[in-house]
Amino acid sequence: MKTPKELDNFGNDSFSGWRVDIDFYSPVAFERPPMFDSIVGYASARDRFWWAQVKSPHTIRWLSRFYDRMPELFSMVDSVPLASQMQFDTVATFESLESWKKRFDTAQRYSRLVDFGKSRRRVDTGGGPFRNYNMPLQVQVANKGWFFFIGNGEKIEKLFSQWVFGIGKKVGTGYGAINKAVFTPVELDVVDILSNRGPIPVEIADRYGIIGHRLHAGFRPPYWLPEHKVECIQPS
Amino acid sequence: MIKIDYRFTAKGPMHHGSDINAGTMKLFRRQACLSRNPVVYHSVLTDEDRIKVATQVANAVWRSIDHEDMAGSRRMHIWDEFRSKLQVAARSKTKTEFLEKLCGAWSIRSIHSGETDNLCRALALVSDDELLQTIRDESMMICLTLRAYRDMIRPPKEPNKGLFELDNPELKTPEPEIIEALNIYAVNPASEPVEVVKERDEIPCISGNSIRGRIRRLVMSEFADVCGITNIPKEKYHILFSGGLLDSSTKFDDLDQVKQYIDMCPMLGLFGSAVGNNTIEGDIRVSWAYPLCKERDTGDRSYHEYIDTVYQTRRDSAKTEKNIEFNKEESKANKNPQQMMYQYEVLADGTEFEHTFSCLSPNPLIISAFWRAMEAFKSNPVIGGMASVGNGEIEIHGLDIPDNASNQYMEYLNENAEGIRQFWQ
Repeated sequence: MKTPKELDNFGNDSFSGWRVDIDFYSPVAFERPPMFDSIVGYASARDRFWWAQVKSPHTIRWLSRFYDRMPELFSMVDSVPLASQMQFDTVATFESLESWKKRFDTAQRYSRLVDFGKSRRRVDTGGGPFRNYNMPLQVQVANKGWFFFIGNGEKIEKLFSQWVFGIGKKVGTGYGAINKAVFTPVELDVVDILSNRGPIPVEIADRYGIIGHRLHAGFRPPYWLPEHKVECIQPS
Repeated sequence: MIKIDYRFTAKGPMHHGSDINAGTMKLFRRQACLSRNPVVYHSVLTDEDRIKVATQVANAVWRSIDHEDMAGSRRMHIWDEFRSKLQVAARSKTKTEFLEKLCGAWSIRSIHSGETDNLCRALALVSDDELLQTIRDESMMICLTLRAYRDMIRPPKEPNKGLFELDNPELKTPEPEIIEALNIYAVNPASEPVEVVKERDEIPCISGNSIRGRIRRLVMSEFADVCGITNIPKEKYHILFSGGLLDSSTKFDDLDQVKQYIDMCPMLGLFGSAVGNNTIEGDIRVSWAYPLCKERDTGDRSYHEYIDTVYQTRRDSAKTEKNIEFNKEESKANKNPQQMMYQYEVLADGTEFEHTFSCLSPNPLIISAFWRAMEAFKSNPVIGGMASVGNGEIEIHGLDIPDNASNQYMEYLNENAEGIRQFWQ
């Protein structure tokens, strides 16, 4: 993994400010607002390793080296990509509780295939490994959301349209699906972005005068990677 | 990314159950949404007065119902039934249509003479959207107020002739607030109407998970047939048909094993699954299906106009059976006939939906499997629930599949059938 210094490309002239306006097809499921660099990082990794069907902690750790393609895409300050978290109209949007289901299909036309050996032909769907689920899922009902970033807009737009069907959790079953994403060049400065993103390391926050509460958190994608977790400021 | 935006039309009623029952009715699954075309009306009433007016309308209908000839068993659930019918009638376009529907549902030929004046005044105070939107949003509150009022003014029962005097005379005195809740003449309309905007809505929809699950089972069943798989351990059946389960059986991330699973069933690369410690990310994206409607700015009509209610019964054939003799002791023990009536919400025949399928993978075999899944969906065009009683058939428009697109997948299965069968069995 490269050191933070090596990833600092702030001031690269080929990068410019962009705003991405997203029109959602369906509600978005998330606990914390999605980060744009994280979404693009995923798209970038998939773009290089589309053949790697496997998504497991092990492979993502391995693939995470290729999140280091970030400097080609985003302007970075000490390895923090200059990309905001999702912004949305907090007055118009509201939270709602949805649910998703999963069940062991006992329909005879399919379950005829199951070999129970000498045991009785029965499956405990109320508990144990084959239990059925009705899982609650908190969603944010928003028709529109937007992101800001400083980087290579053309490249990111291409990656985004190729790999990103939706944003947030349970995208495979239709949550957070995107109707339309419009990329527009805008004038941005580094503080605009840093004060609208997730956690940023304390030194960077101090350097740019950004205040907020302290927490130990990831500051660059993949955010869950232990190596990426440091003392941070969550801008308020 | 392959992205297919297409439409389908309901052929016959379509039901997709929710977790919510309204009285005797199973509601259609709904999703909270911000209407892109909000309901806007001008009102001279406050929110409280608006509920009062709606309650007054409900009261007029309630008093006109013939309660005398009603069976006791029906009376026990009368408030459930009343709320269901109130909600069903509120799907109308105008308040007069609403009144017609509600009265029709209770076989009311004329409004009770003591309520005509109140009803006319109540209806004059509100616009179509105002009344209907209030009933759709506040049916529980309306029924609660009305029930409290009716209970209060009900004549006292005969005194209990037992040892104890159970009736509490205090309960028989109507509470002034409850009486006031129904006093239509206490409503003071404002001189200037205020604009009311209703942005939040609950739109009926078909979940992507449901459509995805249906296609998954279709293609996995076909996969088993093509490869000649006739018996699978239940863990593997679960991996194929239901998405598997995460456990520590593999102890570490066995990437080779996962790759082998995909090689042995390319549909797993498309629909994903969980094997041991690993999650296989599926490359198909199935969106929610929404009706084309004014609320989503995709149609001219409100979705309320598409919703209908199906009424079903199940008869106890034992009552009329003549040729089969029943065990007398068992019959005595189960005296009550096993029959029921039930209702469920449907989207009406002809309702048009928007929907999207997407495939992220550039892998030619997975893409070919994706097209095979689309073919399976097209040849089994049924979604939602209660398909066995004629619900959920659809007509698909604009889901075009390139010629021979699924050949690669089918050839792969045929060529590797022996190895695949040995792996899964």
